[in-house]
Amino acid sequence: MSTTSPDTTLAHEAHEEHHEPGLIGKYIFSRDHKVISVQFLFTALIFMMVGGLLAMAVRWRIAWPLEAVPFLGKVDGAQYNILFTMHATVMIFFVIIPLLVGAFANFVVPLHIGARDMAFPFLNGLSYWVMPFAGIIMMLGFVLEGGAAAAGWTSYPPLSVIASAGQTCWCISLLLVGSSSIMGAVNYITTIVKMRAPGMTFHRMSLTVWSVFITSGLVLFGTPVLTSALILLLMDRLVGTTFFSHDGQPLLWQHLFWFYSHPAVYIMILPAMGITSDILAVFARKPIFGYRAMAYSMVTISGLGYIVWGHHMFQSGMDPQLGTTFMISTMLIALPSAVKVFNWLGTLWGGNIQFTSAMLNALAFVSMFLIGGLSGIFMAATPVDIQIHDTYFIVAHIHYVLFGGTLFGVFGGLYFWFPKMFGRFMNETWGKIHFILTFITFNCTFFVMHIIGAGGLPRRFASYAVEEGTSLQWAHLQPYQEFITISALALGATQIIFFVNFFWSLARGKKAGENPWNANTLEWTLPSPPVHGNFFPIPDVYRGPYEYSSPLVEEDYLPQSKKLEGELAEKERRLQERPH
Amino acid sequence: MLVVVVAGCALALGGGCEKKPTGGSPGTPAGGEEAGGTDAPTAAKSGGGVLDPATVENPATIVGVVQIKGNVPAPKEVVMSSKQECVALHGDKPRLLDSLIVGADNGLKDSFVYVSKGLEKYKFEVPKEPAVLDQKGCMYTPHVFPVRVNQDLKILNSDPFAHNVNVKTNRAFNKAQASQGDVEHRKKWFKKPGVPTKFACDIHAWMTAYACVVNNPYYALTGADGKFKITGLPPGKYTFTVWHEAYPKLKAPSPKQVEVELKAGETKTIDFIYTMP
Amino acid sequence: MTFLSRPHVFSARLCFGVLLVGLASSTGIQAQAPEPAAVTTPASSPLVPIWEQPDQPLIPEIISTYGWDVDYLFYLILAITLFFMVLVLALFFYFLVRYRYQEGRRATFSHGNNKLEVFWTVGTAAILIYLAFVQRKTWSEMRQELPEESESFLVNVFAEQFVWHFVYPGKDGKFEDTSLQEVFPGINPVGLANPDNDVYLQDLVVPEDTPIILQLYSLGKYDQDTGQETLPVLHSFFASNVRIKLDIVPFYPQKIWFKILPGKRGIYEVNCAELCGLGHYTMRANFKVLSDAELEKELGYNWREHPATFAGPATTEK
Repeated sequence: MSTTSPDTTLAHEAHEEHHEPGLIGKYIFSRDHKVISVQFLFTALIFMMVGGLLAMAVRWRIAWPLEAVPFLGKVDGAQYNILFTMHATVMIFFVIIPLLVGAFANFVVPLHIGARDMAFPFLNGLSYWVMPFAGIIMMLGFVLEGGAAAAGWTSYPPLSVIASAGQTCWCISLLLVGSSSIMGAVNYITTIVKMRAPGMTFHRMSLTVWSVFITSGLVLFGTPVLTSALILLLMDRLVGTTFFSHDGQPLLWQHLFWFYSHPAVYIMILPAMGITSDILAVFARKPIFGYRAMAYSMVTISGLGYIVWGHHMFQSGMDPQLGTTFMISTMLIALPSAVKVFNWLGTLWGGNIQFTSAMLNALAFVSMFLIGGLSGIFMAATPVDIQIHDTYFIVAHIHYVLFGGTLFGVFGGLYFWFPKMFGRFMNETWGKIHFILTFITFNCTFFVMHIIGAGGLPRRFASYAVEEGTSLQWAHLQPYQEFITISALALGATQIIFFVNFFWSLARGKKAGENPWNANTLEWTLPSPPVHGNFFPIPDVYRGPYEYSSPLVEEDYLPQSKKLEGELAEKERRLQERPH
Repeated sequence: MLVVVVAGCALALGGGCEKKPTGGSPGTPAGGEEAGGTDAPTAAKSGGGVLDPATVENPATIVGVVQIKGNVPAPKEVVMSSKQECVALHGDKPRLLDSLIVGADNGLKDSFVYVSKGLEKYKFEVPKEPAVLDQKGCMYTPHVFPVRVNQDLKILNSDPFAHNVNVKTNRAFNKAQASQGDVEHRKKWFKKPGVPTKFACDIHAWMTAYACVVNNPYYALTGADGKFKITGLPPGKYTFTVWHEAYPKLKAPSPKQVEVELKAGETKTIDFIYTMP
Repeated sequence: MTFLSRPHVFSARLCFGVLLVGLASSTGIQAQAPEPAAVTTPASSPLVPIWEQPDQPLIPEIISTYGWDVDYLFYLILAITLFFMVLVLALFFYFLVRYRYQEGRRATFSHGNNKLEVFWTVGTAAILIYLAFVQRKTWSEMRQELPEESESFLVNVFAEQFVWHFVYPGKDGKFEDTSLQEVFPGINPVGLANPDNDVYLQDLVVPEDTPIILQLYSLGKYDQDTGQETLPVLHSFFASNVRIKLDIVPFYPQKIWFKILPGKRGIYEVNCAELCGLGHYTMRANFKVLSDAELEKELGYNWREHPATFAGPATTEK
């Protein structure tokens, strides 16, 4: 069996005895990965409210263009641009990425691999504290002359070069967010490579850990490119260089930006895929169908993810031949995602499925990601992309994969790991109500966008009302816009249920034991919540994480660290050699 | 590392960041400045106190005319066919550019004559009513308007569609107003004089207006006859400057600036003549 | 089933077959476009804009020669994706019902099926490779080929925040130079050196049944009073009825082409499809497909008698 270096463990244990953090060290500037993950979680949830409200404002403005938006008054073209820019920026950089790469990864990875903590606890804490600071700088734009950033979250120059001061805040804030991500990536990779418990081979890691491992590779190699692009943009803005204008090339920004941002979308989906896989196995009471295929398809996605960025630029004026090469790689990247969907289906086949809130959300991930992924194929076809680029079809695709995919995965993960994090359950009944309402309103909001976008309805328009001097061709789609907005408002209102459930359960949720879900992975052998240092002692691992309904034991689960004796161990060894 | 980052942010943000003014007050009745001096008299003060032109005893006056000589072309028609909403407001009437309007006797409309030097030792009360700029029929009304330093600015959108007001010099701001009835208040906006300070709409590129920001009440805006009169001046040495928006394309006015010594009760005449190139 | 017993052989054959089909399709053997309704708008009937017509369709009417190629691809992909979506979701819901939790039941202890993995991996790959092949010709036709200038109707398009300018060549068959310093909004909006030579309109007017080439420029702003220049920004030329879209990159002019089908005389619209600022949504232009007589009235001359070229520098923006 492979082992981690025993010296590291002992040295850490020795260090523990001298280290007694006070209140500040325990809860504020903590170095415990569990506390840091909760810090990320709370911050991200607050930003989720901000991002969600911005989205409501965007939709209200579109549906009823001649009326004032509540709390904002009349929204003009410049303010509308700010609204959708900040909505996307906040959701991507301050909600999804911190939730996946900061909260879930931080909480789950050390526990799943049997480690006491992350490899670099101080770096971990630093990677968190950069985030609120970056958030303040981002929000600072709102009070400056000209408002916050308004050039889209894609921030294409030269518009972003001549934009007002809020754009500078945006650039600086993202530089900080990027540094936080990179710090996290370094930490996860080192932790996963060096600190796995004895017996925890790579092929016995959970898919959540695999996904974090692969995602960290994406973060590590992609984020510095964004960093350099942001610095170039700042120089164009503040110093007067011409990287993206005059003798420079506006398309250079697009290449640099998308070289990061395409891997970024995989950063935003892979951990959610890993989480979904874990939840499906637990509540279908079955091993994951095609574990290696699942792991390797994630590796393939990340590898291919680096050579598809140009598909965001088919209509950008880039050389059409380059477009063809990106088209091919983009078509190919649909393949591993499709393989994963089939394997999830295989996981459900023959299962004994329990419809808990966590499971419902994970199931929604699979079905909604399917739709989002399929709509991506339209964009991969370059001539079709001519018609649907920069339309609501793209907006529909984005939201199906990010909300229908990632966010449902996040909800599932929260219902699933809440007991372990906080020692209490979230309310199951309200969880199911939240799920049903969210699922319905989500589909009502975003499915229609495929339909109106396919004809070419342009996005990022502040208004489609002819009275405002806007396009005349699309005004007839206004009834659809109203329907979408009403659904979106209902969707937003539904999230109140989740937030109330979450925060109420923190204080008054039903108490949870060690292993409420009868799951296999190592965190379910610990108290809820685990103590600082997690494992005393570090467990030995005997099998993979998905041995549910194993014929070896009577229960329908078989924890990773449970030692089987004599004959059973022999039977297990033989089973593991034979494919089944 | 954090210290460096904080310092970097402070430096980057320090340049060019303006604090957005707090929200506007309810609109006061549209006043606007009158061209020329004012009427009701009270006691005069010289040196250090607040000077009210109406109260100067035995005030000096400058009269004159701003003219343009040469072959002045007829006003051109603005092409606005891609902006259907503007076309709809004008119907068949062509919309003429108002940058060079000549009246009787070669009088040049919308020239601004003001005192650029000589009043440094006085302070003046800033009018309480705001300077009002309206956007109507896809044109700014008025096209040239005087504004005092620290006077409130009120911008209206009377058109049933979007405009934006983009000011790039003096104290820059860019404010879009999406619909009819929108009012934008900028309290005590301009902090220093600037003749001219240009207002432009980005959505309708031909729409421009010029604010003549001055820090004293001694100015005049000519009508179509080109005539102006500035009165209420205490005795002293002053420099009068003329400005017209077409100047960059015209030959320099003769004279552009005049230094005049005025005694109490004296009336002098200054004529500013522009010439077509 | 044979494909499960020797999946590698089956997959290889499947791939080869699909490649053959894909290659065949990529040379242009496609489903024929549906016959357009044989209604030819008489040249003298009044022009009604599409937005004033009742019952506007969700998918705008195709008026260009390559429009159907684009839509064919869209419907093909729609058919394939819909098929798989329904298939997978049907299985999905079936499994959820069939395998719901029952006390005492045991789930199937399976870690997967390698043959199945190979099958669905290769099958999906085959479909994706087919789609990759089948679209190449259309993309190359729309983007990599340009018709002959001598046979085409040429227009210089200037996109500015927030208005479209269209400059048509003068009778001398050439386009005037433009310079930012000559820009006078409302009077000489694009800064033509000789404004009376070329024809400037804020509508795009084109003939039917003739290749049209547009050269796309992004125009900055210039303040005549202060000499202050504002950088031009990205825009995107989008005419949904033509199925054409291309970003307009400042400092890097590009050409695109299209050809209107006969019988499509009418008024359509050009939109901007790349965020360009606060007035992005107001940036529209009328796009008129006209008969030759109407076009002559707009331009002031019969363009067919004055063939033009783009040759020579058109703007001094660098």
